[in-house]
Amino acid sequence: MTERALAQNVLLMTATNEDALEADVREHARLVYRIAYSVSRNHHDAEDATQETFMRVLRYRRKLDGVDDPKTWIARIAWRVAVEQAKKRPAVSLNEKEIADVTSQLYSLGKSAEEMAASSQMAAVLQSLIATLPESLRDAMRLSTIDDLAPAEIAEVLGTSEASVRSRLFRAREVLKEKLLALEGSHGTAR
Amino acid sequence: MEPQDRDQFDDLLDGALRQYGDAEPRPGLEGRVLANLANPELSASNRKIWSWRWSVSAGVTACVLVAVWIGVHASRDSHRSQISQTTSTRVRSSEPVGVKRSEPVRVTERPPAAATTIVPRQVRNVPRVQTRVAMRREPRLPQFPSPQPLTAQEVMLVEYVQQYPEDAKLVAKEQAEFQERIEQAEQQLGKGTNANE
Repeated sequence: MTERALAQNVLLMTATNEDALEADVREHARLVYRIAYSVSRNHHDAEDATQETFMRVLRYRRKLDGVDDPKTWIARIAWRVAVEQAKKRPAVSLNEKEIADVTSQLYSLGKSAEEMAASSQMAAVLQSLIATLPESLRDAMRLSTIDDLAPAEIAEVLGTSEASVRSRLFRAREVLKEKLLALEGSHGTAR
Repeated sequence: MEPQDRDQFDDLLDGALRQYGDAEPRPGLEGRVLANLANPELSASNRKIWSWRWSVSAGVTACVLVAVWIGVHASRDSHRSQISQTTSTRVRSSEPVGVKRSEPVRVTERPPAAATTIVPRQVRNVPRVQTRVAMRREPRLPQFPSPQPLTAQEVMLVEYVQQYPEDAKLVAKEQAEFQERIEQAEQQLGKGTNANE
C-alpha cells in the first residue's frame, strides 16, 4: 500500500469514527440527559453529566466497536457519571415535615389524582420519597421512570438480572404507595 | 384499605412517576455536546505541544542543574586539594607508585578485552589532575572551609529555586534518583570486577 493510500485510509477511518460518534450523540443525548436528570433532578447538573458522559464515550470509543448494544453501553456510562456527580452534589429533597406540609396542601385543594400527579408539589414529594428508598430499589425506580429504557436495559445498566429489576420495581412501588397512603391517611382521602 | 383506594393511589403513583421521568433538555443539547467534543481534541493537541515544551524545558533545567552540581563538586574538590596541595603533588610527581596506579599493572596481565574497560578510568583522572594544577595557583586562605561568594551558576540556581520551587523540587528529586541509579550501577560494576578478580 502506498503512503498516499494509507493516509487516505487513516483519514477515512477518522472521519468514520467522528461520524459514528456524532450519530451516537444525536441518537442518545436525550436518553443520557434523562438518566442524569433522574439522579440529579437539576437541569444544569444533568447537562454537565451529559457532556461528561460523551467525553468518556470519546475516550473509550475504541471499545465501542466491540459493544453489542451501544445504547446500553452509553446508558451505563451515563448512570455512573450521574451517580458520581450526585455523590459530590446530592440532590435537594424535602424533609419529613416538609413532605407532610406539601401533601397536606395538595389534599386540601381537593384535586383529582391526575391533577395531583401533574403538580410540581407532587413531583417534589415523590422525589423526596424516592430518595428515602433503599439504594437498590431507588436506582431501579429512577431508571424505570425513563420511558426509553426497558427493564432488560435497566438490568444491563445496573449489572443485574431483569427478574431482579422487576422485583425491585414492584417492591419500590409498594413502599412508595404505602408512604403516600400514610401521608394521605393523616390529611383525608385522595379524590 | 379498600381496593378502590389502592387503584386511586396506583393512578396517582403512575402519573407522578411519568411526570418524574419526563425531563426535557434545553434545545440544542446535541449541538452543545458535539461542540464540547470538538474542543477537547483541539485542547488535546495544545496539551501535547505544552507537554513537549515542558519536557524540553525540564531537560534543559536538568542539564543546568547537573552543570551546577558538577561545578559545586569541583569547588569542593579544590578545597580538599588545598589541604594536601604541595605534598601530594610532589609525592605523585616523584613517586608514581600507588594503589590506583597499580591497577593498570594488573590489567596488563589480563586479556586485552578486560584492558579496554579500564580506559574510561584513566580518562576520568585527567580533569582531576587539571583542576589540582589549577588549584595550586590559588592563594591559601586563612579560614577552612574558606568562605566564597556564590558562583554565577549557583546564583542562577538560587533564583530558579526561588521562582519555581515546585519545579526545582521535582528536578532535584529526579536528579537524586538518577544519581542513586548511577551509584547502584557503579556498585554493581564494582562487584562484578571484584568477582572477576
